[in-house]
Amino acid sequence: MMLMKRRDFLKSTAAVGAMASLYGCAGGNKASGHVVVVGGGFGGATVAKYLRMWSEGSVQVTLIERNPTFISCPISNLVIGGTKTMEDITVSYDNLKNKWGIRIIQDEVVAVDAAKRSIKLTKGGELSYDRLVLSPGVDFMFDQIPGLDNPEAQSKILHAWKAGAQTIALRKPFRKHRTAARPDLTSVPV
Amino acid sequence: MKLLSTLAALTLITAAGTAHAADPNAGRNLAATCANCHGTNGHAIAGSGLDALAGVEKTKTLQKLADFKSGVKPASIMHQIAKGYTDEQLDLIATYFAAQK
Repeated sequence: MMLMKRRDFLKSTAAVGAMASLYGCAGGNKASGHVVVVGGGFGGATVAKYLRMWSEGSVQVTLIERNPTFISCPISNLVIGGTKTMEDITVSYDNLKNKWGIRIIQDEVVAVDAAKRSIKLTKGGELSYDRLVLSPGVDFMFDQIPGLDNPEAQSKILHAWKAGAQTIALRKPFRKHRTAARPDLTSVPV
Repeated sequence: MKLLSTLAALTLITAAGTAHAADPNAGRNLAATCANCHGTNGHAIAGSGLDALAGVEKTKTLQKLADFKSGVKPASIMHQIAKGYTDEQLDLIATYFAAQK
């Protein structure tokens, strides 16, 4: 699991900016090339959009994301609290595709060959790039905690790091409590 | 050791300052860090309750930022964020947003 401090994130954002300005502003030459972004979360989706925006469409961008839609984790507590629905916090990738001209591939990357500048996908073979951005998000090493390396334990000990199934599972016990304490809230749209 | 790391930090700050001064996109790049709340290029999402920054007069934005920094203007997080930028950087940011249509 990789954690990035906000300060480091800002520094790397500045680095991306510096790169983009190197590309974009050298004597009117437009940037070119193909950037592949792995992961369509906050980081990856933002990089993909800004590369298109700041290169004025001259850098080709492919975004690879395993999920069909993006579900926001930071506001998922509002679903648990009952003031927003899952639909409210789910965003499609259509804007990135239609408004920003980003090629979206729903797939997973299984290997990176940095020497050949190519990645391997589970479904669609190989894809080559000029620059690669890895923004895959967090994952877990369940085998590192005794007893947690099975689906049953993981369904009981929720981590809430990834919105979606976790949000729905977390909402359940809260709904029960709310129903018992405040019968008037049972019709909250969730 | 402490002196060394202070010196290293100062060198970094100086280097960063020089790089910004030379970079024609410095304002744009700094202003991009505001987008996660205030929207792309300062165009806040309607109904978000956040101030739009695009097209706002530079002096107005700078005054707001100064008031956040000094604590005159109450805030949830902007008083901390404003302190993280030098006056020169805030000037670049305010200039960039003022130029946005």
